[in-house]
Amino acid sequence: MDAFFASIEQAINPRLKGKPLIVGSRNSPRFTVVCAASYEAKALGITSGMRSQDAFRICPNLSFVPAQQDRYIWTSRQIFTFLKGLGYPIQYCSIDEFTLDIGDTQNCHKLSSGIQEKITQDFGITASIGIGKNYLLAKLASKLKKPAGFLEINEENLEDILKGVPAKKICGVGEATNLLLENLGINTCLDLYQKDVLFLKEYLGQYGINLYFGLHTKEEISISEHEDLPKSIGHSYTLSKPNQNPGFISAWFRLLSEKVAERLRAQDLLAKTVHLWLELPEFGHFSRQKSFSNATDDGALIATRAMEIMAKNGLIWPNIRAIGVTCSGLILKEYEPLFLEDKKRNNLLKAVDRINQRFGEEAIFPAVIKLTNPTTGTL
Amino acid sequence: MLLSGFNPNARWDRNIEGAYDDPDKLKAKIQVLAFFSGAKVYPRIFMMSGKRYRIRKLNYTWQKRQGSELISCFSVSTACDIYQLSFNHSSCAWKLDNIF
Repeated sequence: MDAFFASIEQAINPRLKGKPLIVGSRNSPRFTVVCAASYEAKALGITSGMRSQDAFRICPNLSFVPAQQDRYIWTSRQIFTFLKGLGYPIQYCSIDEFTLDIGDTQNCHKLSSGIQEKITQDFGITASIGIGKNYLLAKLASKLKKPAGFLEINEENLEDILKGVPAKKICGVGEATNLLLENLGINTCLDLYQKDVLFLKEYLGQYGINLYFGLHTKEEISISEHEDLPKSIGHSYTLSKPNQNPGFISAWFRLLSEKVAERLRAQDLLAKTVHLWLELPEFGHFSRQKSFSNATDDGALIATRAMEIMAKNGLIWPNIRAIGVTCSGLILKEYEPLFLEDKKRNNLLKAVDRINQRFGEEAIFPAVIKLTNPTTGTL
Repeated sequence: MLLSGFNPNARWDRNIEGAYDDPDKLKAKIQVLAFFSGAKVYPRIFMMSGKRYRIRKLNYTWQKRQGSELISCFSVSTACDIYQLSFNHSSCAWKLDNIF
């Protein structure tokens, strides 16, 4: 989907159509990051991830809408349901991106225009479609023809297209990788495509191998029970400003861990590994993970483990801008707890989940989470 | 239920009361004349403070959950303004959430 959040907001409020618009988080318009920018804003040089202050500096008359996740999630699910109904194996890649395995379908142009028409008609937004033998080439094709475009990269036109596209356009090639590639004389996607696997492995390691096979292999989406198991479940949050208050930070650890645990329990999963990610204004990114012998779906334990990771790495309540808690090493919860205390705790968590499902998010929650609220952050 | 790939539930955001300008702030009860077709609802006219507003265009619809309650939301245009209405499927109550 093209400028997904911004396009939905423009469809909801037609007065915003044709105007530069950014969608930001729910905090102050001047103190957040750009989640999405309309094409009119993009034309002025405003991009996702930019500080809203910088966006307003570029365009003082910029329209701002706070992100409303329920609208985007609902629309995303509706589009997924429609695409699934087409009968091809489908993968949910992100909130505004889907991969269909159309196999050897001959008239893919007709199929694509049908999908684009339906999305525009039902939701008032546009979609770009790329076709390729694998995800990376299809994604590149869709990127090259945004907005509302269609491009097929096949064996006949592959070289012609790739030779005119910078290597950094490939999904996953960031600034650091691009700099390395440029130093190796790899400037275009074609240069990258023509390198052999050993060359890429030598300079990029495992990522080089993944990149090589990602670009050359003909991918298929297989649907099996085993692959349905997610690899990880995580939540992250960027604070409105850096904070090092222990009470506030530990409350955020707990809240994010509770959200992760709730999703683990909803899918009958237990996690062995906890991964902590922090954005520290003074030190940059911090990212560590640790595996534990007993898997869990308890938010309190996940939060304790995340804080243990922070403490064991010498971080004593540092100034924190963003926090991410992710659980991996997921296994299916096949047995009920054996001991009485564990059983009691398990029943408590189940009851909490049932109450929240019935009465809404955070109808009941651990009291410490209240400290995350800057306006009523007292117990 | 297990989901492969991306799960839209990952798009959770913190709902902090009072910390931002709530877009659904009005929550005024209104009377609505609506057309129900299959599982879809099409509001046509709404009454607020004794005044009647004819809906010229249904701009967008979406749904959200508040616990077990399903809420349908509508962005509608009248001759002059754009409104956000909502319909609670459990209580069958209509509300005016916002004026754009």
